[in-house]
Amino acid sequence: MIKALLFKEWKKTKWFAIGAFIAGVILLTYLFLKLGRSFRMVGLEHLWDVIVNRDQFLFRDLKFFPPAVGFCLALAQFVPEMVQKRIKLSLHLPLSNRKIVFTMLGFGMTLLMIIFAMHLLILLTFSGIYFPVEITASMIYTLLPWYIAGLAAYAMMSWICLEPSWKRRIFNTLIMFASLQLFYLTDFPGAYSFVVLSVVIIPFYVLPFGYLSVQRFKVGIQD
Amino acid sequence: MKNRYSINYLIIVLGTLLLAWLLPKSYHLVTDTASKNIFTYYSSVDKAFCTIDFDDKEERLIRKNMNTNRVYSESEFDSILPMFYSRQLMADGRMPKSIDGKVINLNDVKFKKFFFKITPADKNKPHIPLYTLFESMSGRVRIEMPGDVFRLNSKIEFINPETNRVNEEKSQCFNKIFEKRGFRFPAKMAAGNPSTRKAYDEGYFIIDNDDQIFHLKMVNAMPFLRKVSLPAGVVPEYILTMEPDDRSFYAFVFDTNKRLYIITTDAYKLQEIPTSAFDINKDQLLIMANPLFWNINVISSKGKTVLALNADTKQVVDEVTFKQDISESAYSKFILPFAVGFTNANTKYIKPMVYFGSYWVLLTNLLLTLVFVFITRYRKQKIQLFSVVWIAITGIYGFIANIIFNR
Repeated sequence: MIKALLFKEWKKTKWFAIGAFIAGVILLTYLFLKLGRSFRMVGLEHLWDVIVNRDQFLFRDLKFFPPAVGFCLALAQFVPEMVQKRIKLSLHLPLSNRKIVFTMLGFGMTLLMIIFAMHLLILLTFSGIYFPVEITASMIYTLLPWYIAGLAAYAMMSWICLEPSWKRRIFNTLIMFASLQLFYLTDFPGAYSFVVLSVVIIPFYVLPFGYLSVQRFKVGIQD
Repeated sequence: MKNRYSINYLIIVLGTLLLAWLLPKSYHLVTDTASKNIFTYYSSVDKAFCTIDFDDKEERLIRKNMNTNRVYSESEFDSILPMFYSRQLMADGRMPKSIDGKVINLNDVKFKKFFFKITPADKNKPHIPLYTLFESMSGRVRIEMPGDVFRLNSKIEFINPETNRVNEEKSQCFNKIFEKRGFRFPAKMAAGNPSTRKAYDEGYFIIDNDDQIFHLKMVNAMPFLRKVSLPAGVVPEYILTMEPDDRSFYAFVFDTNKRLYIITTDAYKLQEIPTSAFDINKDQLLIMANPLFWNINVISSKGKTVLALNADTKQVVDEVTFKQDISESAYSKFILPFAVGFTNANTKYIKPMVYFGSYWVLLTNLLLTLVFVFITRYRKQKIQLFSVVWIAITGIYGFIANIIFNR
């Protein structure tokens, strides 16, 4: 039964997932070409100097890409469920509601992690060729909060989509924007080094919120 | 049903923490005013501290001598602080030929005048441990990029940025001298000034794993490494290098006993710079030096202390303290029980921090708990122990979160 549920989720999100991956690759290619131009124009030594001594970060354009993917995946996955209250059908499957909701959310989260991991792998391969391990490590510490923000954006947006009451949706949206700010407190490269592991907790802390909204939906709460 | 409650509690906890972060932030956004920073400089003419302060009543800058309270006009003030306003006085042809019988050499003024500032965030910030070592004796006027950077892990390694490969030959050559001089890897820190916009280069001052300081330079493409002998009891915590025009010292050393030293160019002797209680992780330090006096400004949350030191002996000549009014406004004291923060002016790192208010706020918390119980009964809801306890602890934040999310 869970397999069938996962297949349903994949059918809903397949084209979006492929699209998000390709959009990410295009964005990365653009950034690599831009950097390649800098390598030719000013040389790698100058670029290293700018990164190390002037605290510049070369991949700043990636900042809002992960949350944008997270938002869109949640919309692709849960808006069809909420239109005409189709989620009712899913909730009638011979499985506990908890299992159904967490399978759906778990699917989305895993899919997002796969897309993000592939992007980061491409990025790290590039970085490994042109930069020493010290610069790559700083790059990871700078990028990780943004990618974790993508996971949190997905979990929060799912919560908002699954919520049956519009009034509560507004409060949920406020919580979402306030929470997402936590990932963008500074642009300084590596500023999250001490807390990056604690930041990982946020999306997983928020993930069960959607289940509460489904429960509220089940007991008939609406505007 | 139990799950439902626990998820609701998770939402309330998150909402409370976000409010504990954003409400005080908004409060400060509306109420914060700049703390008064009075410019203070020791006058070599009046032999007293002189200040420039904005007078709120007269709505203009007041320049005066702190001892005599005599107020000066702008041009009079230039003459009272000839070292600070040397350029203006030279342009006007008003620079004194001598002060206290000491002949004032204009080149001396130019070379011995410097400004040095360090804030806690300059030290507490992420940095990539790669360093650029310039050629110190290239024979060229302009400092040029060396074509590599070095790292200090279990040994020193030079990496060529164009190939991203280690230059084995150069690394080995430098490593030999590190071993010979008894350097203990890994290094705790390396301080240098990797800028080509300076008059000359003095390389790096490195603290090794045994808390010894070494001076590293590249001279004619060869390594120069020298151990700096430290007086007993000095354990260096942080170093900042400076290449002053008069070449009188190499670097500032901050030790674990919160003392400040300079490493002089006179056989690397350490000379203590007296400061009032100064913590590099909390306070700002500003040094305004001239050939006659060094003005040491220590700015902390309690206020500002300024010391005037004799430039040659570094003995304290005069000292003045301006206390900062740190009384918290009554409004926040009674309403906001605590504040959560993630950024701080003392560091560039993101770190969660909790600031606690006064005990008075417990009264407000109690009042809010009673209001919540009343509202819950009015809404004909069951009173939950979690919510009551949570509001009693977190006050206004928990109250708002419960009102919204506990329906």
